[in-house]
Amino acid sequence: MARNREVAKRVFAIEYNRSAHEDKATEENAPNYVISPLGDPVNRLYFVGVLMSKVNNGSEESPLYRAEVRDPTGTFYLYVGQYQPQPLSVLPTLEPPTLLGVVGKVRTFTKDDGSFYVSIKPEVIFPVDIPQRDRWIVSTSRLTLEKLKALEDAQVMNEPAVGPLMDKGHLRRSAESAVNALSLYGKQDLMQFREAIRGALGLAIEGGGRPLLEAPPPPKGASPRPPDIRDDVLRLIKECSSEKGALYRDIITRCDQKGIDRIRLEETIQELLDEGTIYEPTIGLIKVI
Amino acid sequence: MTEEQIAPIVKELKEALPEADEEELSRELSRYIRFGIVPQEAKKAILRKMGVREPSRTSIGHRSLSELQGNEIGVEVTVKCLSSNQRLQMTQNDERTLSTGLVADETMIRRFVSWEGHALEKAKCYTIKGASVRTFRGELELNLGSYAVVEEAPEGTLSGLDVSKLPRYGALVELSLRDLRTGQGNVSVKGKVLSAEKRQIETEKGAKRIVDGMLADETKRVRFTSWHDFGFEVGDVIAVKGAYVKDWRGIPQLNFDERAEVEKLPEVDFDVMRTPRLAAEELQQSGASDVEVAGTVIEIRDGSGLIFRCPSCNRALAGGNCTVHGPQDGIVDLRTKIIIDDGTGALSAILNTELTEQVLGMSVKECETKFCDSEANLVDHLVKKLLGRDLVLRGNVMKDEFGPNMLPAKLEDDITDPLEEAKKMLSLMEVP
Repeated sequence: MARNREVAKRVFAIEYNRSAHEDKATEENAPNYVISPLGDPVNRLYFVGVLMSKVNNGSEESPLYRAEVRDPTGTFYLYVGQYQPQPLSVLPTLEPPTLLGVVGKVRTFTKDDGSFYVSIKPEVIFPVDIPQRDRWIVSTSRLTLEKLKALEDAQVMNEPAVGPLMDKGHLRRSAESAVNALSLYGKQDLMQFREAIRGALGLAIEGGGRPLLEAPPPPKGASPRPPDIRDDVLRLIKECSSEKGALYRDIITRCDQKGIDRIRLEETIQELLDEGTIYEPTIGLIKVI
Repeated sequence: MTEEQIAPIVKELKEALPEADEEELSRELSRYIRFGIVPQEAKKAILRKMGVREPSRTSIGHRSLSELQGNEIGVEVTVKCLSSNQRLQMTQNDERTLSTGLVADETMIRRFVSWEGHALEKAKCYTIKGASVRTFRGELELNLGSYAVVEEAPEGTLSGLDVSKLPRYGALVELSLRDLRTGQGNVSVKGKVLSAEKRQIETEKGAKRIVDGMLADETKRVRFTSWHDFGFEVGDVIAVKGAYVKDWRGIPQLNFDERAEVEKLPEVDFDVMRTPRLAAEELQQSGASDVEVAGTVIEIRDGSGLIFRCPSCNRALAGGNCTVHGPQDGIVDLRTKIIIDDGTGALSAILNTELTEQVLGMSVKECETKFCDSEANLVDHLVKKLLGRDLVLRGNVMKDEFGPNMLPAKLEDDITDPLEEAKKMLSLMEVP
């Protein structure tokens, strides 16, 4: 019996981006999974969001686009190269901001220091209208809420297990996700996911039928746009720099001391790289131009 | 131990092993006895060593299948084999042949299992000695272990047995239609008869009226064959007790015959106006007749667009060749192979000519004229029209070794209002 085709999971950016574990295939041709903080094994995903930026970090002949697609809860990072023919033919024709649907495979990167990053290898991208985005928000909210409720119940159980969770009315797959999440991530603050779903549904309701850019921003708590830390990060990089540049490791340490969030640091450094304020002469080394 | 005490045992051994040398047997026996093993046990050990199977020591005698209680050992039964399957099964250390099947006597039907290579043949009668009885998933079954001896019974054994008069195998399970799975043996279901077509067939016992049709509850629609005319009509709500489930291209189909009880339920009704909508994950488990799926088209697969079919067998030609009939002038046809995914699972679906024409907004003829030089342009056009589209498909979902495959009869855009749904979900989330 052939393996069933991998389902395209509906996952919000906040859930996907906070993934810190993966299930790497040991057999040949077996799929890799990112295990989300709600315990969902994700190999392929489908999401809808706004194309915020696209930059070709490669060359004319062998392009490598890095694109950001924003959903109501966060940003998906996409890498598109020659092995993604359909996205490569479509992406250059699109100008931000455009509402997009993306079907893609998970992509992971683990730094030397063990920190773990996820992004997307798109298989296909296509334009989407507001009602379709809202249908995506609704089905993604429903599927996320199933997992979330099971995990909320699991977190307060003495001995969380699939059977008792199913007795409480959860689907088998939600119960399995919850048990999985608890063993990998321990007890988490789940309020952020609940708020994210609320914010997303709010956008579907308030922005219903209107073009996205005129829609009100997501309600507070869903995805607060943090104050700009660009200048702070740039100063810190300069402070850690020797003649060759600053070690990535040192920058992270300094930012940790200053209380700057790792994910935000990552985003900011990428922005600075994109605009050419800094560059990466070798991996792990950052230099201000 | 004297020669006289050993002699009768040697004689018994010789009877069981006519080929063996008597002196050799006697020597073998004394070897055990020297270690203090009592002669009867030594005899059994020798027989086992020589590969002779002997009925269990603790034979409790002959039993009918209905008399079995569970946990007996050393039972003797006389049965007819109704079905028998062998398959290789991996165990911890090696591969072994597992035989399973159903046997019957005049009282009932039971399952048998053997890990020891006892192969029963369908329709033959056997006397089985030294079987044990155990409980597996709530059902008693005969276990033919290494002590079991299976002998073909003489001609005429169980000649009065009429299997069709016996109750079906297994405990009666009450199920909703969506929980029916191929292979279930004794189910009880309720549903509304959506269609019923009576026809005459010829059997060994003469002409017979059977009924084919569709049964529905709120969860699913299931095709059925009733091998007996119970007199129900379209629109009746019926309860069927003692039906079994067969497979038709990965779709479970309900079957029942005169052994079943069919009862009309005038008090009960099901709302069957809406075609049941199922999640893709459920259809990956088990196919369905006339079902609705709502999802997003996430891939247009190779083999879509204009194809040429063999005039004799309708197979798609590859490079102008039919795999069976060789080079052919093909008949042009139009189809689209897509993947539809709803977030719980993925199905492949083949849109036929009419649906592909509907999607493209043009006929096969127009396609041929417009895209005659470039096949690729037509596929691009299909991608533009379909990729990423939210669709509701209605049709049959088959299942084979390549997974679930839908043949939609109807295709519509998903025009569900997400606003209402979002409001409902949000208000439910506010409830503490």
